[in-house]
Amino acid sequence: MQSITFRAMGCQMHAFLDSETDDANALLQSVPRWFAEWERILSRFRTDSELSALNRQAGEGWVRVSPTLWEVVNDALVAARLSDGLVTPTVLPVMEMVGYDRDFAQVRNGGAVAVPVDVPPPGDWRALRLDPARRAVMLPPGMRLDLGGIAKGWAAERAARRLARYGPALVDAGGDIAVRGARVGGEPWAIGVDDPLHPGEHLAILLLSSGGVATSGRDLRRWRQGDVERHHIIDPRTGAPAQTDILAATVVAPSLHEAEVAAKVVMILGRQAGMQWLNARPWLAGLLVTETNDILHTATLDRYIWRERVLEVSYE
Amino acid sequence: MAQRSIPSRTPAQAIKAFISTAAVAATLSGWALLAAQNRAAALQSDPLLSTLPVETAQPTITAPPPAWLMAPPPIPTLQPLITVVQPPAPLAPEAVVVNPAPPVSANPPALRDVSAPVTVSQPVQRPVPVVTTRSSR
Repeated sequence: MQSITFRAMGCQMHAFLDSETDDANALLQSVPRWFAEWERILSRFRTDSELSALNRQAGEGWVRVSPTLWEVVNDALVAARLSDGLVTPTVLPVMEMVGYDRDFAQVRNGGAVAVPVDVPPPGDWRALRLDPARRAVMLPPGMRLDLGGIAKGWAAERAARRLARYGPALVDAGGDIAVRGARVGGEPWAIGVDDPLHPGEHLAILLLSSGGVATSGRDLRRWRQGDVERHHIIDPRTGAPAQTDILAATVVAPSLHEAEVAAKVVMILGRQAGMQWLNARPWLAGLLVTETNDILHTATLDRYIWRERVLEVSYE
Repeated sequence: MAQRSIPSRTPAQAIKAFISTAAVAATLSGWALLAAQNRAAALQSDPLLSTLPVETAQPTITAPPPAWLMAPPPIPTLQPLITVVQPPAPLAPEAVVVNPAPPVSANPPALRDVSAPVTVSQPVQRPVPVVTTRSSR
């Protein structure tokens, strides 16, 4: 098995390809370049990105976009529909107002963060217009998009799909993981679930041959704004960081996109409503860690979780 | 308009008509007389007809109807062609007698030696995760 590690989109990335051929190795070496290209299009922190250019043209009519931006904007709107608006790309103004207005490394390293202010609710995602025939997007005045986690998940899935032409592949984009095919020999990929209270230790080990795993949490990307502690998961209903009793939510889904959306929804909804939301969708499996250190999971997680088997006695 | 004259009847014609009518009347009267005489003679000569009772006026019947007319007709009793045999009542469950377990011997027999070696499979190794899912970092 070959792998490559690099940084992109503000995260640590890993790509694995279960093949020993030279062609597979050459393809694997291309992965960082793919991510750099996608970041140049999709980043909200780069003023020269295509996304930033689109945001600057809000209220100025239709804007033709690249196929990559078109796909990710569509994914973001699908996420908004799947989550009844809880996961929406229109929260960027809110995110900036609460202090997350630059790359998180700069926020964490002590850059000045504006004092809390009253922020307007995020724009309604349904006001965003798409023209498939011209591959054009129209943002209403004042609307700006943050494709954040959706873009990262899209990139991981796209990279895994490309790699899978040469063998079973796994791409880890900062903890959001896309899997394409069981490993050579039929074994599933083993994926650890980090313990938010004891980083570096695993709460569980998941075994996956396809699909995606995503974790959303408020244990890492948090900061202080004045006297108020903030984190990056915005509840569009309040226009503020979500008031939730969950520290981290991990979801396994048929696709990384769906896992990413579901993990964020559960974080925003909190323990009780979040578990109900998950249990109503039996194609999802979830594991939640609450701020009181309770660990909950759906019954469907048994399909993926590794358990130590009972000793078997055999007679030769 | 043309008028048709009606010729008047002559005395000779009237006499002819009278004679014809009288002859017809006499013929019919004679036939009737002969027929009456023939029927009386036939009744006297036929023995069957002579035995028929002579119908006379009868008084209103007041006697009760016969008993056989008032009684309902007898219904024959059908004999069954197949004799239905009732199944036998289920047997009462028999009490199961369980032999008491043999008393435990204070000196159990020695375990039999097994020629094949016994091996215990090793527990499946905890898989080493290739990656870890966590909130973005």
